Amino acid sequence: MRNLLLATITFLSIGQTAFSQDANAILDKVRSQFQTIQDLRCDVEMKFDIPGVAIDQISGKMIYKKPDKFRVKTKGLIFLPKQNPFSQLEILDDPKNYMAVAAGQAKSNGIPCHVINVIPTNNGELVLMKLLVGIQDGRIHESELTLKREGTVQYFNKYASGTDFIPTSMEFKADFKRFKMPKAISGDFNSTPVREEEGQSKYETGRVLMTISNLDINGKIADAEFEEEGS
Amino acid sequence: MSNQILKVEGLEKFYGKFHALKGVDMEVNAGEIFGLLGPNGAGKTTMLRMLVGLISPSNGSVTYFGNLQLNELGKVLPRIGCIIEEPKFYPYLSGLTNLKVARSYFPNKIPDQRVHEMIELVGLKGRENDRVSTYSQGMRQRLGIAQAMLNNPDLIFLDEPTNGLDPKGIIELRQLIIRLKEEFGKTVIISSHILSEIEEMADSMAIINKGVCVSQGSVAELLAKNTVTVSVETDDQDAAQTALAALNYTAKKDQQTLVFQSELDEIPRIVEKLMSTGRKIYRLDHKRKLEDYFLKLTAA
Amino acid sequence: MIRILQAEIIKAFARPRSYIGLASIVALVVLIDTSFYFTGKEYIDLLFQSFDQVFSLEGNIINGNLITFIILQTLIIQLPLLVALVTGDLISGESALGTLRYALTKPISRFKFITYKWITAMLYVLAILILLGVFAYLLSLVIFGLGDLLVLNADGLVVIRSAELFWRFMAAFVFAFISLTTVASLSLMFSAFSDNSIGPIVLTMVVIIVFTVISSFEMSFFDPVMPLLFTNHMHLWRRLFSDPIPMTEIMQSAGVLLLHSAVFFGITQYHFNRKDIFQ
Repeated sequence: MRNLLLATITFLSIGQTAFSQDANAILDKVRSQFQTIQDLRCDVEMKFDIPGVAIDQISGKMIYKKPDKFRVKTKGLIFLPKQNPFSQLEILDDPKNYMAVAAGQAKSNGIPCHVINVIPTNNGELVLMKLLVGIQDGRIHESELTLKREGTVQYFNKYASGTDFIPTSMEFKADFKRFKMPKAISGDFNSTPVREEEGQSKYETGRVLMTISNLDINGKIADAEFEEEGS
Repeated sequence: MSNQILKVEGLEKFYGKFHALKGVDMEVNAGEIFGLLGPNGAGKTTMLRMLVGLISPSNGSVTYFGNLQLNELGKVLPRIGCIIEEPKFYPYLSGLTNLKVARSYFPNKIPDQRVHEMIELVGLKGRENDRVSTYSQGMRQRLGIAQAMLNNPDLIFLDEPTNGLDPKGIIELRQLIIRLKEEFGKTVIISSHILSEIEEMADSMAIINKGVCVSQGSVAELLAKNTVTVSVETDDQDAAQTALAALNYTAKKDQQTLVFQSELDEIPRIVEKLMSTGRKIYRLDHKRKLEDYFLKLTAA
Repeated sequence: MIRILQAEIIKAFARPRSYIGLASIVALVVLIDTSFYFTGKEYIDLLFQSFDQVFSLEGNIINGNLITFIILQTLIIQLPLLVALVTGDLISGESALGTLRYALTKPISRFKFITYKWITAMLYVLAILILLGVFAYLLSLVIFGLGDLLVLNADGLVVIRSAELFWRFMAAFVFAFISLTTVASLSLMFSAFSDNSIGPIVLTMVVIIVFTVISSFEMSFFDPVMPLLFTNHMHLWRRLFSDPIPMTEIMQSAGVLLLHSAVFFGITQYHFNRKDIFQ
């Protein structure tokens, strides 16, 4: 599957060297902004819209440290994307890790963007990443990651006015198999069974919205902060 | 009439089609021990159960203390005490706790002192804190009397109180029951199937058989008729019959036995006369007429 | 009134049988807490695996609130048996022992006698629930700490924030009390009809099992009787851990259960007041 995808994209990319050069140039700009960040700390408010899950919004602290340490500290339970939300940027940190192919332009939330396909060269979890990079601001407004185990997940980033590279809100969106729990395990003997209708998809789309504020970049975060208390 | 503590009129009980009590009439005077005599299954316990409100009568009326009826058990029960069948207690509780449980059912608080007095009265002092499961049958009977006496009742019902007791226990219990009457002025109604028991304790009695009250009266009156039935077994019935005829007794042959009526104080003279015949006498015994009467009345 | 209640409590709690329920609750709570302490994560991972593809759940999942919820969910099935073990014997046990005839020859009306028995049954239910609540909650909190509650339902998950949980647990215990009151009233009713100890206990369990089996069939044939089966309403305590809470549904079920208790109590009174006491 992965090889087929690579072959197709490589084929489509032949003769589009100019586009590739453009793509690399666009990503270089993104990378250069990302390279100024060693760690970050911010307040985060999380909202969840996951079918089959009732969970209130919650606020907490989000911390990130290169190369790949990420944690959201809250007083309660939260749902997070399996992949850390900065993983899309981590790949771009070294140009040897990927091949970039420009795929035209598109709008994300009304903002004109370059569409760039990123094909990792290593054999990692990521199969393909599609980025929508703002033509004007050079920031990632949308990304779509195709992952080996998790399928396709998307991020929609929003930025406050200004030039901050880190978005003020990140919306994570992914499809997952509808949650089903046998009564014997859940102990929920009184629920009326929801019968699946014919032709109904077995998948649902879930969203996690992270609104970021009080951003503190390169404030030097100790590794210990990423450890779970008591672990 | 004014002395009457209990009056039973036409008391009947049906269990389905079975007619357990067939219109019993009975009167008990205050301050006496009243015997309710009858063979097993005669209806004594059914009657006592009705009198203490455990089962409801099918027909008839009961008047307690001259003016209270069966439907006024709320007023009757504070004035009575009882042991119905064998006394039963919570075996996992001590005798004292059992009495305290029993007293909790009375509307007026019975003081601890009264509970301890009753324990002393029935001779259980020193054992009151032991579990009832460790008590002998006699001790349980006495504890039963203590619980029946807790509320200082005017009328006490004791259903076959000496059942299962050893001879010493029977004597002790009889003495205790007589004390209840003589020392404390209680009216006691005792049921029994043993005539001698009633004879020894009761002032008056009713004989009940197959759900019918066949006789009622004062024990003294019945015993005053000193007539006894004498039975003699000898090796020569004819000779004995002749000797008895000389004393004006008409003895009837009943297989190996001669049977005739006599006065109790005539028996030594009869023995002397029979001995004078020179024949062997294997057995001579007598039954009081009351016992005869009872047996006759209650014969199947 | 207090003296009779004291006597009834002394009688009920002096029997080893009364402690079977209480001891088994303590044992089960300790057992569940211990098992979660050592293998709780495996259990949660197993439950959560179908959901774990794209989202990961972060935070202290195995906490005192979750363990208390699981204990409540597990034991709520066994509690009727433990309750019936004592309440089913309250009248028939006295009958079998022969003490009933002594109590009833004392100046206490049968109505009051049954009412005190019923209150005693309720006190026993309360004792069991308080023990379960206090012991399960405190022990689990001490071992696992506070945290949000993750409720697994057949059709999804509910995460309830820690601050919301105390009153929900209290309400759940009140609902459990109402449910067990129905069981206690049922077994007490059977107890009034019986002269042996075991019959009412077995009969109560048979009724609960049969009703529960009928409930679990989920076939339209049984639909008309479903609202009448009190066991169907007993599980509604769990809805207090939903979001939003279906308050009307819960109140209706509580009403149905209370109505059952009242009917069982009424039948008990009616029968016992007319019953001839032979034992």
